[in-house]
Amino acid sequence: MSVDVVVKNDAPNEEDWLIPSADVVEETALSAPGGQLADCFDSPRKNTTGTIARIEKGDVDDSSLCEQEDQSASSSNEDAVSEVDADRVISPIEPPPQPQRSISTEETTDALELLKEHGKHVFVMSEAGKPIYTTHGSEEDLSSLFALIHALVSFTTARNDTLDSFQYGRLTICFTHRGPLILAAVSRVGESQSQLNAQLDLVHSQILSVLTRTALLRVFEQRGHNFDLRRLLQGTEKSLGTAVVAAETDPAVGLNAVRVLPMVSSDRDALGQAIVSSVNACKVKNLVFGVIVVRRQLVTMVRMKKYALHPADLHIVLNLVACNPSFKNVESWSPICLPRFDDSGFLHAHISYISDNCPACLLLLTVDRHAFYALSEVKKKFVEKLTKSKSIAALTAACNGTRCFDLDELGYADLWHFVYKNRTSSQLCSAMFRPPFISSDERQRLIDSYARLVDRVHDRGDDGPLKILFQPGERQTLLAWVTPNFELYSAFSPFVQKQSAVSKIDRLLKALKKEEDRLFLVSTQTF
Amino acid sequence: MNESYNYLLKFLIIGNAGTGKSCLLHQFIEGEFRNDTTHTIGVEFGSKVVQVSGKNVKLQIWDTAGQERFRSVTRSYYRGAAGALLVFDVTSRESYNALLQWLTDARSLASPHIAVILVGNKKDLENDRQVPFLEASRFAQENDLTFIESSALTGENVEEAFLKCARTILCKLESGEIDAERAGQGIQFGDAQLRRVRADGRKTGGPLSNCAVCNTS
Ligand SMILES: Nc1nc2c(ncn2[C@@H]2O[C@H](COP(=O)(O)OP(=O)(O)OP(=O)(O)O)[C@@H](O)[C@H]2O)c(=O)[nH]1
Ligand SMILES: [Mg+2]
Repeated sequence: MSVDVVVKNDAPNEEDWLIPSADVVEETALSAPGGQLADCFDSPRKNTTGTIARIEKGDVDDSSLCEQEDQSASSSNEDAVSEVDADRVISPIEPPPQPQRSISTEETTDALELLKEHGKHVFVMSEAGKPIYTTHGSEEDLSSLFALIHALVSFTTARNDTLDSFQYGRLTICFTHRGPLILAAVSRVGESQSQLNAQLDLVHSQILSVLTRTALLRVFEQRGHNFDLRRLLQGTEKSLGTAVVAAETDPAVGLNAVRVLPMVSSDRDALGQAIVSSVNACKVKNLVFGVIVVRRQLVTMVRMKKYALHPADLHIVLNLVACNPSFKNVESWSPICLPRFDDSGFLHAHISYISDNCPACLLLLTVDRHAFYALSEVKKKFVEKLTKSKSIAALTAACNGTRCFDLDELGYADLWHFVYKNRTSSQLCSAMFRPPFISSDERQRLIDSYARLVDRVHDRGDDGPLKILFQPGERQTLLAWVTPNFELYSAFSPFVQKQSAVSKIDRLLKALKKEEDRLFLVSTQTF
Repeated sequence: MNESYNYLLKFLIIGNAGTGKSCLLHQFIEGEFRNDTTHTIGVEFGSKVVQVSGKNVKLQIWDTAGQERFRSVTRSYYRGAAGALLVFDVTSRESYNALLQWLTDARSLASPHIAVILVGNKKDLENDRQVPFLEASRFAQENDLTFIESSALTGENVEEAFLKCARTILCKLESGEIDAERAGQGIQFGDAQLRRVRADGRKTGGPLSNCAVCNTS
């Protein structure tokens, strides 16, 4: 049973938010799939490693892969170009274009049945309908679904229309067409369309991050629409799967924000200063970003004056680190494309963990592909400085300390959880999970409710977002509060009164303000 | 922490994805098998000082990604390499078939004089072997390579592969086949060698100036 929109008044002004005039919506809980969820969302909840189907031998003519390339290539963009040039030389025999399949209703129903085994599927295919990636199962099992999705998208595109999403029973099916790729998400866990879109967006960015957009476009241009992209994506299944899981389990992705590790602000500043002074001491130019991350949280960041690091790009970086435990104990030098920064070329990242005892990872991103040794020196100098100033101990302690806001400190028994996003800095802070959100199912259910709440607040067409939404429910009462400066989503006991909830949130906001410089990165150093 | 050394050599490890390049590097540096590997993204870097014919030689090793999408990026790191371990997996014919291309790359992009050791890795998996020892050693002969079979798992012949490569380079140096003082050969003098050179009364300016002084590790 679900009772939709019980009371609906105009959105309150910021001054009169105490007047009970916000939308009141009763909501029945939807079931969510199982899995484990860490306190701070950082552990994969499901095994969605996915598959990039095997490439048949004979498809690739290895002997021509290593065609000579122009050695003078020096701009980062040329990585992408030469990759494609090498491809063009190969020209293996293209499989004949597949005849346009007609899909019977029966076949379609079978394929949709397949989806029920898993809560969620993400599909990536080329515009020609060639399967590229799926989170579960093999391409063979799902070929009729790929064909169906392709048919649906082609049908609407041919009519100069776009297909965003549709419902099939309890399935929500969502599409994104970003030439030359088509992405689709199928979910039965009641995720909202915007949540699914955020997931597809992250998967798309993830693909761009390993190829660059330029190379992606060129490869289809030069090799034809039937080119099998799986060849170039081999080995990225894990990071695509992890991206899907992160988008599901971490509200930061959907809210386009970044989670920050709580830390004493002077300690945090010392880290940024140490990076900047090491860079200067080593006379390194062309460094664009220096970032320290730990378990999907940002510790600090320094940047070239004219560039900012977009949260979506930072999620790519976080994902890269999370998916490659083998960065530990070695120094790596990795090409990475950050699509929001520049989707036409690679940045080069010097990646290393700070020390054996400190779980934080330092990334130095530059446009100079020959800067490895210079950045290796920067890293050495940086660690020397940290060790001398004892900052390394402070950093390690912060990494091992609380990674979320502890609501126990406020002492409100009926305020159970919250997620707060600073809209100016796109940084996010959330409460540590506490009862009744014990099991990973319960936690995921809460995150899914937040996602629907976010939708309800924002998807209002020209009316602009609601300011306050109070939503009593059987399991919990939700309260959303949105201003130009922040967005806050919170969960209370179902018995909470609106007045009381609002005043508690008010106190919470004050507490967050007071601790702002510990919970957030308030300033970034530049060079 | 200061290690003094006579020579600094840049090494590459190249070959198809999954042949065990990163495992070989780890075994060489840490002396143990690393079983948590994921595919290398770009390159991984390691260094170690070894003794070769009475000299301290520091190896700077670039372990490259074998996956196709990294091909063009990793090639840009070849320049200035003095030696390379060209790795295939004895249980994968595919990785063996790709050798010639890797070799062509190394010789054309690094230096025609690059010392290449052919390494047939995973020799512990005798039952799954697809490439006979004799076949690979014929290939090595035809292409002027030294051949060795190794196991990053058991550690067998791992250090030997790196040392063989370093030895070959030092031999070429002594025989005058290659000249460390010419740029682009991937060989630099270390502190110790420079001191010796000075003591010998040779000029340290001029031609040596393009051999950067690398005093610490
Ligand atoms: N049995 C056996 N397995 C090995 C040996 N060396 C590596 N492996 C395994 O082979 C797989 C690939 O090893 P890696 O070292 O990651 O391969 P790589 O050549 O670095 O691959 P890329 O980084 O993708 O180019 C891993 O699962 C290793 O455990 C070996 O000597 N014997
Ligand atoms: Mg590797």
